[in-house]
Amino acid sequence: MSIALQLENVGLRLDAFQLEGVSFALEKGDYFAVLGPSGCGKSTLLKLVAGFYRKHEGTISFHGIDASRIPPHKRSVGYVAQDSGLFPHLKVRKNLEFGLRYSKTNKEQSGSWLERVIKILGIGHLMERSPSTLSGGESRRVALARSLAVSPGMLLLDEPLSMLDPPARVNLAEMLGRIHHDLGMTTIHVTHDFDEVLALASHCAVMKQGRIEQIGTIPDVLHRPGNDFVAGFVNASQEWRARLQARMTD
Amino acid sequence: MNNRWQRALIATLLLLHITGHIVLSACGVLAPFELFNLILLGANAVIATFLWWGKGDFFLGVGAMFLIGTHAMMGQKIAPDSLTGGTLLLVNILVLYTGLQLFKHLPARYGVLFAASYFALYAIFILLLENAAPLFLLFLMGLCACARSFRMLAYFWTLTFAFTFAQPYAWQSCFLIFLLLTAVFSARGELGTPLVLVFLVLGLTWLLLVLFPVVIIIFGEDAHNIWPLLGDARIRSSLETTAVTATVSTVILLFCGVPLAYALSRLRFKGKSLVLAMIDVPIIIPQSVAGIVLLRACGRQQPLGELLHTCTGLYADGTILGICIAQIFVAAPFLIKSSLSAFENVSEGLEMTACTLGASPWSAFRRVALPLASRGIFIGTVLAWARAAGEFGALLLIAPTPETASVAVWNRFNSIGLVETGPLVAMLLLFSLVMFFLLQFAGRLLPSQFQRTGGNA
Repeated sequence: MSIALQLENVGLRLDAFQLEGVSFALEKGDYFAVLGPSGCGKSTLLKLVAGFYRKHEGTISFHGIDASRIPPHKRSVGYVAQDSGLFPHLKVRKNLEFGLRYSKTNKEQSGSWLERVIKILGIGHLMERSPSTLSGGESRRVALARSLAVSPGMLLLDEPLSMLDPPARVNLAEMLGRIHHDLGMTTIHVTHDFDEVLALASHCAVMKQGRIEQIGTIPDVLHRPGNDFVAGFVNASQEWRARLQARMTD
Repeated sequence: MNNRWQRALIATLLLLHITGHIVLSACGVLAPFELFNLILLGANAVIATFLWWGKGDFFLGVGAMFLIGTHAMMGQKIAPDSLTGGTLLLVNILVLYTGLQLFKHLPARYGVLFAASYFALYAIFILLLENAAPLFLLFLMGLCACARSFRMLAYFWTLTFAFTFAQPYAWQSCFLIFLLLTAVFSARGELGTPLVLVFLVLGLTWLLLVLFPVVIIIFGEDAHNIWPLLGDARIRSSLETTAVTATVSTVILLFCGVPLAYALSRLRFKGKSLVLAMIDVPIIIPQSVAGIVLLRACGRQQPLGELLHTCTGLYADGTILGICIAQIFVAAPFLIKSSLSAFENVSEGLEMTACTLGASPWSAFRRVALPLASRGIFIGTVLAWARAAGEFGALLLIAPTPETASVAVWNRFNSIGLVETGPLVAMLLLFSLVMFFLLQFAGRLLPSQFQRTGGNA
């Protein structure tokens, strides 16, 4: 396995807060979850990887190549924003085809690839719709398909399952799993909900105020939390379940 | 079957009519065998028969009998001929019918308002304006048609007052008040409390009063005399000058202002608030001051003016170049501010997404930010064009010739007079308004940044 993405001692100073000493490495095909409460810097971390902060400390490298001089549009990372970020002035089809003209593969190849992505995500019936008419789950799927359409080297998902109703959430989580399985895409999944990534991710990092508190495989973090914060964070959901259990047995 | 009292009333009314007919004929006041009088008598007899056997609406029948009787007795006094008398009678029966229906089917306030309206109309047309009986009849019919709805009544009274008391501006005031009423009646909102409605009424009243002079000109005599003006070579050339210079100025502004607005919306830097304030400077400066400022900088024998001369071969004062400089100066804030707020409403996330899809910064700007901000930019462009075309004060100082439309109005007013300037003013007003509305509607076709960007289920 080769290292797809490596961050070494990455730091970033913004007006409001700072990111410090972030280091991790992902192998090709990894599904990596970044967990943490809101405001801990996980979205900023994604934007760093996508290349939107030019002045940062440390190094970010893709496949061993230093990325500091690669602008965002040449990094080949697919980014799905929390609000889906569909272009409201374009129909779903145009949204999906937005990036095709920039990709180096020929038209037929990218066309058949897009068809495949559309099929996996089950959005074929939405092609002529306008984004404002889509439900939350539908627009997430279209956004996901749009970033997959240009066959990126890596997928960055910013809270992809938040603000969805439960069925849509389960449905999209299954699709994420299938995409990862079928396409073997290296994925970073940012969320504040540990339950969400239990079944999806192989590794995860728990962040707090711009620092990584613990990093490891999911079972590692779940069963051997490194400190009170991590323990509290990953166990919160289990605690809820326990309380619910207690109430129901009362 | 009717009871005894009702039958007594019916019989009394019929007998009174017959007695009155005979007595008045004997006195020579009434022609006993005139067809109209006989028809009235016959009608009353028929109604009485029907009522006697309990057929038909008792109150309506009795009221109609009373009306027919009184009209038969006093017809000659209130109406000049039997035809008018008959119309008056029919309208009165219609009023009676409407009133009864209102009281029967709707809350009492409708009937009360209807009756009050009747007397108000009577006061206006019969007592206040003499010899207005035909108008009275016409308006009574209108009242009957509108009585079922308070809104319709409001429109009705607007029309009535406009045409009785607001002459010679009846059409104008009618138009404005209809606008106000329509707005108020259709106003809806979660917080549509009476307080907010009062705010709306007060604010709109003020706004309409401000616009009243404009409406007077547009709906007035001046607007009828526009066509001959277009034959006037001087006016035609002034219109051409205005259109050409304003368009050139706006295009130059677009190429400088839109990039500036975009940069301002996407970057934070030291002194940004100062730059934002500087954009507004031309709005704050009085027009004459702006004229002097520009003249001092770009006029003949000023360093900048000479530089312009070597570059373009033109001096600023008294040329197209000067006109454009003045127009760009005064119009810039409108375009920049409008574009700026449009770009600020386009989420940066959308452009970031475009970049991750492979779009270069220029592509992301051209394919995402620009189309989504296009409505705001368009509105800013229209405002800037209008401001440029309407500039007057600075032009009077820097380039009174070639004449633009606004300067032409001034020259015409000075050399010929107020009344003669009216048609030209009406034309410019109409032209600006038509263009403004057209562009507003065209702007709706452009994508807006306020569309939802994909829902939350």
